[in-house]
Amino acid sequence: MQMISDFLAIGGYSGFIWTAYGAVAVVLVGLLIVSLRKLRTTSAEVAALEANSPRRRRNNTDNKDATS
Amino acid sequence: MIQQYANPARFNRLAATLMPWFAWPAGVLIAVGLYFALFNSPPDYQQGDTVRIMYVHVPSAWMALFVYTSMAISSAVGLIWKHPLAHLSAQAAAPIGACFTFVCLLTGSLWGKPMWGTWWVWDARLTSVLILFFLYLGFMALQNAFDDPARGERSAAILAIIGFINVPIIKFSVDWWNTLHQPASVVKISGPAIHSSMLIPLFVMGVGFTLYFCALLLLRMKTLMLARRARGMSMAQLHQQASE
Repeated sequence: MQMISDFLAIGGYSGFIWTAYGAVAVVLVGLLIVSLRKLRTTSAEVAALEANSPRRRRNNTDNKDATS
Repeated sequence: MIQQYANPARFNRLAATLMPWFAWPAGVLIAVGLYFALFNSPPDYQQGDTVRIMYVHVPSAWMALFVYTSMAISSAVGLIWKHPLAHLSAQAAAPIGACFTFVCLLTGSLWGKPMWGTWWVWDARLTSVLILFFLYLGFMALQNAFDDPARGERSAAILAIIGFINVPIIKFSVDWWNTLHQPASVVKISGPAIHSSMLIPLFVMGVGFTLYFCALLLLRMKTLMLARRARGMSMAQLHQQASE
């Protein structure tokens, strides 16, 4: 128990050190989550649009590749 | 050779192949780096345990500069050779770079308070990094400031290239202006001035952050490509509805 509280206190600067590491974790993990979520919603959007226009997909395959 | 990756299908295949090689090692290296940084490295003789903040602060600062450099290069490639993926890569990188710069400033401030006795000073290094942060934000804002995405892309690219002047200024600010921020101690002509027990966590974290950036860059580029495709498709559908 003493060991754990010593570790958490890290030489009396615990507030600064844990805040720094916490901020890094929040920002980097947060960015990852936001990016993954954005990928999912955009993929769903494209899938919905594709389902919406099956005719166009058959007719204008070349055109679609050029715009994508 | 680069041109063939302009094809989205090819890029997606390449990205899918590379992704696990970036993502998994990034996770492992950051975990190992954290272990060294928090458990298995000595306190500094002057800074005490606050030196542990350096293991996230310094790699973030490296990334802030590295990502900006990559963004400026992509922007130049996009403007000169009109490679379709170049602007996309700069656009995908900007928020990642902004996050690293923010983390760098924040952790620096959290170290500065106990060690320098202040959260912030208008020291050359701190100020130039703050400018870097604003360059990232300006890049992102400019990109979305136009109705025509191509114009936004070009304007932002020009800003990224002009702003690159700030990168060497940041690097050499500690030598040119003798203010509060300490000079480089890792990348030095005479070799690093830090003991290996502190260099190991620093480098492990640095490589981990770099791989994290690479994985996230690919993921965000893929998203941007999909978004572009969605935009094209919905416009084509509107067109079709209008002509029917």
